[in-house]
Amino acid sequence: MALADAFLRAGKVRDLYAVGADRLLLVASDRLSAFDVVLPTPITDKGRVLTGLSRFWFAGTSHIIANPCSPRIPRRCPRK
Amino acid sequence: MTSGDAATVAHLRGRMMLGRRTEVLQVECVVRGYISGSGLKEYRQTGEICGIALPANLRESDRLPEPIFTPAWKAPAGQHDENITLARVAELVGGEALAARLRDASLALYAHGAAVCERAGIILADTKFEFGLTPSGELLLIDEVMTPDSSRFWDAEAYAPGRAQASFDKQFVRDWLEAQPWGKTAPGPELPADVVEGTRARYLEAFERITGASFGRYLTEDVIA
Repeated sequence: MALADAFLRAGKVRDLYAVGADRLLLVASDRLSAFDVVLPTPITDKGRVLTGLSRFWFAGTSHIIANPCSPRIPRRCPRK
Repeated sequence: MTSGDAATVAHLRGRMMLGRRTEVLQVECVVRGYISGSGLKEYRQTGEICGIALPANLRESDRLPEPIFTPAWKAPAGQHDENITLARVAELVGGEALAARLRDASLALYAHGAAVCERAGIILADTKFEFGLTPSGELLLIDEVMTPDSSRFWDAEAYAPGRAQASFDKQFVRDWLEAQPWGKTAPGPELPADVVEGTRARYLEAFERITGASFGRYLTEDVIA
């Protein structure tokens, strides 16, 4: 399936795609917003930093509250 | 773009996260450990933030006596989010019990995050969480979590209350933009290569200091360790 067909919407920084009926794929772009304006020049790897940090925190906080990476919801997510 | 395209696969590497479709609660669950931004503005007008009374004479960027839950209503596009009380959260999400759960989870998440950041020499001044409900009614933490885009990260070494603090990640680009003949309305100016590289370095440094993991290894092996 072409990714473009599953496209749902673009946020300021992240793009959202539908996966099946009940899942979402979030793709973090390298777009940077400063003074509430999205700048025309991307910051290389910024989207990867944001994604990696979110995954790190999801893995470390599932004892506080469930998230899409929680053990109860099988998913390929990093665990420490 | 198509999913099988090699360039697309390379582009997507490290920037994808699989989530679940949930009913997204229309409340930004903000926790503040320090006073800044819209919280500071409200405090100066009322002495409170989101109905929470605070000590008199707090200075900009001061550490609060304890972290506070300061939710905001997610305004439709084009409008500014509005700070709201816990009672208003209960009305918006449909119940006091759920509102209390959002507050308690947010405060616990912040406490965890702030402690991890502190060990890395970074102050988590404030951050914003989002939550969703699954069709079976399970509450999930969703979206992005404690990233530079959803948080204020400050360098602990440079911290000096009584004024605005430099953003750990964005200050480099902000300083450059401030020096440009630009009215801070779209479109913004193109960034020169050294500003891109300097900003990138700060983001990578934030990642590595907070996670204690190698960014290079995250990219090549898809692990954060």
